[in-house]
Formats: sequence, structure tokens, C-alpha cells
Amino acid sequence: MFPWGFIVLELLKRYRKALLILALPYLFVVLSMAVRIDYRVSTPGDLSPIAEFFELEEAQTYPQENPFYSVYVMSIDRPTMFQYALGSVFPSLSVSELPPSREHISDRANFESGQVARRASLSASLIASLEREGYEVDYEERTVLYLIYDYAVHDGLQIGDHIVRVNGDENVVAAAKDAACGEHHEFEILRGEERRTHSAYKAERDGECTFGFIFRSEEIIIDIEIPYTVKETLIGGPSGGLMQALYVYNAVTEVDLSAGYTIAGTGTIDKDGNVGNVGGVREKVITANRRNVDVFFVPYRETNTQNYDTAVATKEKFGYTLDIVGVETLSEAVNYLLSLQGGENDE
Amino acid sequence: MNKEERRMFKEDFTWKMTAKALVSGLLFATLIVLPFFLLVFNLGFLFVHLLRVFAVLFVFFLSLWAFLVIVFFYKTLALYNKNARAPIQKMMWQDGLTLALIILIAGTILAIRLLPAL
Repeated sequence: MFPWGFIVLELLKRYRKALLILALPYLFVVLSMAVRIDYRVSTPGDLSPIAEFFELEEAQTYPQENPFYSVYVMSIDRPTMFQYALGSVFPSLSVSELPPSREHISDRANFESGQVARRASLSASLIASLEREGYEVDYEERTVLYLIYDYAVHDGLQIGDHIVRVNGDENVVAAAKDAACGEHHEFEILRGEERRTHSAYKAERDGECTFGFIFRSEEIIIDIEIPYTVKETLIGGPSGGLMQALYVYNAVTEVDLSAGYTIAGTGTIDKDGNVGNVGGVREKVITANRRNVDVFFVPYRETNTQNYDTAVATKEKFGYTLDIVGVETLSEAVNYLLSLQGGENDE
Repeated sequence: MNKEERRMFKEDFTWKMTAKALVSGLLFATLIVLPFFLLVFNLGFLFVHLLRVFAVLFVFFLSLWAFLVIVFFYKTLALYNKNARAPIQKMMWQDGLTLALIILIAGTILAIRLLPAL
């Protein structure tokens, strides 16, 4: 039997007072830095050159002077009490309640769905920018399993699976919605090149009948004139879409839009080149300023200017000098950069 | 430790004593360094732009932890047999402290050299 008692007694005898005085603050410090609470702390992150996500075939593109950057921020879901306290004090950090939508989503599922969203935004940005320049891109729309909640009952479906049929019906989303409650249903999927069949159970939850899945539509590129290589990265999410599209556009056009400037931005993109709103704009502007960005693109939707307003408010609050440029489409961003180069608008 | 010292050590301390001293060394060193590791992780995720500083601190605290494991190991071992022969007690502290200091200094140098590489 290990003599814990002996060692503890020996130490207590020698340093009784000091140990007693230290025990409570020690426990407080350790617990405050280990116990997690249901909040979210958002922190500035860093710039990521778009070339870290994917590369176009060099032989078919023009050289660029500067990389285009997307900006990533950190979202710490369920921070420790210590992180929460610091988040409340430091102006560059922000604390918010953990959104209910994050409930029942494991960290792994959250990461994997971020990767699916990043891949989807890559396809959309390639289609938007290359078709704009007259290149042929052959693609098809597919339904992808975007998220699986913790409570979902299924026999091995994975985030990122392409759903081909639900109960034999190709209209996947409608078939899943119409599937009867309290029964197992058949999912025909594509995982890579492999066709598989799985089943999932639709059950009543919080007054709603659900599989516990979220589907989303994604463009899958079948054939493309300019080959590209996708790289592995831990950064996920769709918010790099606009900057990816700009990177591709700049690579296939002769005028170098990146020359002389450090250009970063945020915003989703669809295959038609429309820019969509994102989260974490405040922290992204702080990050961009820290890394001496000259031009920062941010979504500006006629119907919802929240992203743009936040970016401008952050710039004014901290007295930054970077240019905040609100754009609704890829064309607007291209035209702005062309105007910086002293060129004429592209449209 | 030469052959004679090893023989005397085996006579004065059993394997069981050595194993137990090692466990208590691990325990106490971890108790002391744990708050610093937690601090590095907590701050590292909050201030990503200072990640390299926290990475260096992590390496330093790792070597501090190894240093403390060795110190507490010999300290506890000495408690188990207070009647161990004087040359052995002296040798233990000399060897132990030398090893511990080498680890701490090597860790600190590695941490400082890592700074520009990160």
C-alpha cells in the first residue's frame, strides 16, 4: 500500500501553515482555469493567405505580387471561467451567450461541418470567378449532409456524405421532411466514389419530428479548365469565399490587382458571385489592423448592412486607418481593386 | 554512479521505495506546475497572435516540471530511509541535482532558440 498518508503527514508537519494558506487560492486558481461554462468568447485570430487553402495550376495562371488573405478568428465555445473573465475585460475580446444552435453539436461535428462549408465555398468561388472570365466549369448541385446532431440515431452516416436518395426519392430534402415519424428510413449516399446505403431514425424531439441532420446544397465540380489542388487546413467555414474568388480571378487575369497593397476580407460567396454575411466581423477587423492590412472587404447587403456597420464601428472605435470596403458582389470588389490600380472598371 | 555506489544504493533503497518516490515526485511536480500549464493554455487560445510566446513558455514549464520531478523524487527517497549511508545521500543529491539542472537549462535554451523559429 502506497504511504500517501505518510508523505502528506510529513509535508503537513513541516509546512502546515503555508500549505493551509495556499490550498484555497490554489484550488480557486486551478478550478477557474479548468471549469468550463456555457458562454462563447470570440478572439481575433490571424490572416491566412488563400494559397494555403488551394492552389491553381501555375502554368495556366499569372503571377501575383501579394497574396490575398482571408481572416480567421477564434471562437472559444464553453470557455473556462478565467477566459470568460478576461474576455469581459479586454476590449479586443467579446463574450456572448452560447447560441442554442450550438447545443447538441460536438466539437468534432462542429469542426467537420466547418470543413464541408469551406469546401463548398471553394467550389462556389471557383465557379463564380472562372465563369465571370468566360472559362468553362462543369458542375452539378448535390445535397450534402452538413451537420449531425449528438442525438441523431443512424448507422454510420458521416458529415460530408452526398445524399443521393432518401427512401428511393431523389428529391432528398422533401423526402426527408415527409418521412414518417418513429420509423427508420433509407439513405442512399455517395462517399467519395463509393455508393452506400444507410438508415436513420426519425424521432420526436422538442415537439418536432427530426432526423437530427442538417442538409445543404453544394456545387460539385466535375470538370474545370484550370486544374487546382485543395490543401488540408484546420481552418473551416465559408467566410473565405469572397477572397478565394478574388484570388482565382486575379490569377487568371493579366492585371495584378494585388500589387502594392495588403488585401484581406471576409464574406461568403455563391456561384453567381453574390457576397453573403458572416460572423465575427469585429474580431476580423481587429486582426486585419494588427497585420497592417490596407484594404478590408466586408459584405454589404442592401437588406442587411449589419456586417458593414460593425466593421465601420470597430474601425472608428479603435481609430484604425485601414479602408473598409463594403461589397455585395464579386464584381464590386474587382472594380474597387481595379480603381486602385488606376484601371477602368471591368464591367 | 559507480559500481560500488550502485551496490550501496541497492542495499539502502528497495525497488519499491524507488518506484514510490518516483510517483510522489510526479505528483508534487504536477501539482506545482499545473496552474502554469493551465495559464498557458487559457491565454494561448485567447491571444492567438501571441501564440509563439505561449509555445515558448510551454516548453520552459515542461522542463521546469521535469526538474521538479527529479528534485521531489530524491527528496522523497531520502525521507524513506533516513539512515541511508552518507556517501549515498550525498551522491543522490549531486547526481539528481545535476541531472535536474541540465534538463532545466536545456529546456530554457531550447525554448529561447525556438522563439524565432516559431
